[in-house]
Amino acid sequence: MSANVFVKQNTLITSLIYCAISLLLFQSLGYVFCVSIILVTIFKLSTSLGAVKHPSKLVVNLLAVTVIVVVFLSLGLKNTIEMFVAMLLGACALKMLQVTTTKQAASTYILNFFTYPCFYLFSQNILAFTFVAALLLFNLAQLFSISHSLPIKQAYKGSVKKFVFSLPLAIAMVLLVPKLPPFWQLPNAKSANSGLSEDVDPFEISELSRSSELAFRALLPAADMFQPPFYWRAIVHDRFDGKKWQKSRLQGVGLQRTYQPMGPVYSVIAEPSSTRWLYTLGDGIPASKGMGVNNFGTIYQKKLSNKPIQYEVSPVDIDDARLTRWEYAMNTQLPEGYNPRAVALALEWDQQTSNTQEFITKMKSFFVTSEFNYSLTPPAILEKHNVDEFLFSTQTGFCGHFASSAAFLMRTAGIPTRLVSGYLGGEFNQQSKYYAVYQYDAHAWVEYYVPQLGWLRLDPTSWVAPDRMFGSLSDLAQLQQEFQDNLGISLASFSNIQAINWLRLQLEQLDFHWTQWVLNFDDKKQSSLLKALFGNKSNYLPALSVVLLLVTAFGAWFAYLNFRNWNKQPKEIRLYNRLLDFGKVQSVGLTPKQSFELLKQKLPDVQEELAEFYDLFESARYQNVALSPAQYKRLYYLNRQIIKKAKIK
Amino acid sequence: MNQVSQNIISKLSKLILGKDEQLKLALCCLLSKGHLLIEDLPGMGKTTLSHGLANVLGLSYQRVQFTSDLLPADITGSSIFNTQTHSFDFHSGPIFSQVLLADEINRASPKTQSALLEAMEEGQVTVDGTTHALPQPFFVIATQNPLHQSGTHPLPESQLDRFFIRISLGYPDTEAEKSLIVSGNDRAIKSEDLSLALTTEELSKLQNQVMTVELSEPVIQYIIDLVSFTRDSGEFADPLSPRASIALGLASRAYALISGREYVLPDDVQAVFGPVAGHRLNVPCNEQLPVVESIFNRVPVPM
Repeated sequence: MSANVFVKQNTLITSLIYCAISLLLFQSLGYVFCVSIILVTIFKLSTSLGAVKHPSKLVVNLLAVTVIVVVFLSLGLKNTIEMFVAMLLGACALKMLQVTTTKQAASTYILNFFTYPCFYLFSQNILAFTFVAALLLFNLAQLFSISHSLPIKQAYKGSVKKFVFSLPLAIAMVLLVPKLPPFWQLPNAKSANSGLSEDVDPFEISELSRSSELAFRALLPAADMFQPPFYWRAIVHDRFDGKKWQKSRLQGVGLQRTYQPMGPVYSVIAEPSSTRWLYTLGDGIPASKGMGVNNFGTIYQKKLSNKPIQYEVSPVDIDDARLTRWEYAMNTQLPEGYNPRAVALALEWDQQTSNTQEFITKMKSFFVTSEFNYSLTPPAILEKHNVDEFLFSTQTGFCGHFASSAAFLMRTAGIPTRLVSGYLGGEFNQQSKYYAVYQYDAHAWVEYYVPQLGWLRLDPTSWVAPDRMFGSLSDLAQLQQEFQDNLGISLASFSNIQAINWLRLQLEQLDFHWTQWVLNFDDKKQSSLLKALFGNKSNYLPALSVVLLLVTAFGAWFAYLNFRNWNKQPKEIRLYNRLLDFGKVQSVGLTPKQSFELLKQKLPDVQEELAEFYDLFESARYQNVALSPAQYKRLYYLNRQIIKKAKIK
Repeated sequence: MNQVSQNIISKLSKLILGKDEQLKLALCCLLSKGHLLIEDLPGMGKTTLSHGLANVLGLSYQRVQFTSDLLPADITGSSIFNTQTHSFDFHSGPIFSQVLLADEINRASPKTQSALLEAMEEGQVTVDGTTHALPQPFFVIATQNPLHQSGTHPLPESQLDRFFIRISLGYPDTEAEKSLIVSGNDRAIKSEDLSLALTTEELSKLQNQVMTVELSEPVIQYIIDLVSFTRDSGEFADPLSPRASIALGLASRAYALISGREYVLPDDVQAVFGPVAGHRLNVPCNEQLPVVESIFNRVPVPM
């Protein structure tokens, strides 16, 4: 009777938790599913308030079918992971509607140890971790509460105690058990929708969407070659169709030659992004697994990850001094009939100059003298001749406008040119010595080819806004106001208030350590940790032996505790308990006499033996008569006899 | 010894049909030298039971019908001026008997109730400065109507505590009622041949035997667990006192004795727990069973 009260209370709370999880995963699971979960929760709420009758099995089954259909229709088979999580959450929420007994509830709570961590499929930052950890702890408490009929508060205390008690072992296991590659892998859930786009069309955008989300962090070793400005290359756009800058098929060609690194390896921790392209300072080749590098020295993930990944890059200088005829054609290709004024201007400059450098000087003086404006919110240009429009009438734009028009002019003059998008700058964290690069640091510039020298970088934006080259965009005093208007409400938008800025930097740093040491704790980091702990042997033996020792010590201790309890009991009680276990009699609240009556009903074939056993038991326990060895023998014999006979039946 | 109590029960069960369990408990109360409270609706056989008990045990018996205008002196007796000797003579009241049936005790005023209950506890009565000892053994069998009946004064908790056991007879089953109807109201005749003519010595021997019943460690633990459950669970406004623990121990011993055993089983404790603890926990008679069940369900039986 009382146990049911706890089941009722706990299942209601758990339904609300399911609802909260679904709402938090709203973007991934879709609003149709979220609405259905909310409806189920409301149903549960009204049954527990007594407003609605407890649903019958048929109703719950019908609801289950409905949820399955909803999940299929709204998510489809394409989003396998989302569908899987939605089904799991839906099934659990529906189970909560139906649960009446302690046993049913307990099985759902055990499943929850799997259900809650599914949240990690979508987010793995420190906030998500705290949330899920709290849920798991609470789940443990709820499991205690229903299985031991305890008030939830009392159960929570107990579960926290047990959690703290088992924490050292858990930490030791994580740190010391060898990291093995997974045996099987799920397809990743789509989590990020921010990041660079593979197609660049600056002119149609009137407002650059600026997000203060982190793009990546970089740990640069102290070396002369790592000096600002930091141009982080990500995507190379070498095809132009008159409107958009796109990737050519050349991008898929892997790097053919091996190169000697030019300097020390640096490491980058990239946040999940919507594209596979990763970030390098100049050309680079990856020193980590799971990455590829193409002919342009840009690196990419072989499999799109939904968690932050850490990778190492060796800086190299890709030998591109020679361009094939085909590549030359590719990088000077322009569609016919676009921007006649720009074409005329470029051809005029080409006539007046003899080499590429002079052409660029000419172009620079044009941009500087015409007083172009750098703005994050330029007017949109929708005409066909967009470069003309920008160069001769609006003259206001951001990096994409400058880079794209410069590339157009240079291609017209026959200089092989391509557009590069990536990030510029980074915020340096003094305490932990890393650079944080945000989405609002996204940038675009130009690379042009000079025979014998290869590809060189040119940033036309720097002619107009030279400050942009150093530091992060957030540091630009001139654009402060505009920048902040664009950001929307986030901690970064209040960065001019000292306290908030301090808080933001602390949180940012915490997140950095979290990402570096917890999320990216891989076999490499483990082995270096083991090296530091156990010297240079660098094998898993010492680590494993520590873990084994811990496990055996814990196990032995628990075994000893159990044995002590067991051994303290007189023999007749042990035998009695064995019989009750055998007969599956729940003995709470029953006197031995009543338990035996139950046993006799369950095992009608051994009634006589049971009666004799009980008589001996009774006189030993309640009459304070010590049993003689012969009587003990008889007790054992009866016990065996009862079990044997009952089993035969 | 089992034989004697078995005899008593079988004699009484001719009088009160189909209520062996209650008879056992009533006898158990008397063997523990405790006072008995019978709570029931009118006409359920309360008076018959108390009358029968006195007769069977061969004890002197007085009956007082409690009413709202009953005064303490009506029970204890009073000093009356003797014109012959020119002094006050004490005329003892109905309380000077071995079994006092206080019928419908909750109809009397609290003052009168107190006078009776004082005598119950002390075993003596003081009138006009003179203390008069009450005869031994001294039992009070009080009956009371359920409190919702009009014109009743509920007994205060402290006085309820002085009753060792509270029982309720309840309606008879169909068979018993049938034979009641057939035999009609010939209670008086039956009472005559009930008598076992138990001497006072025999009774006190029986009472002393209660204390020799073996109370093993696990059973004591069970009593303690049950009592502390009423204190710790927070479900009861008036948890059980140590006096209740003593009563539980005594009553289970007496119950075991009546059942013909020389040692107490947890089953004995369960049998007497409701009647001993019910009125002390302020649980109405009709709710006693589910409350007691729920306590049993939650307190494991130690072994």
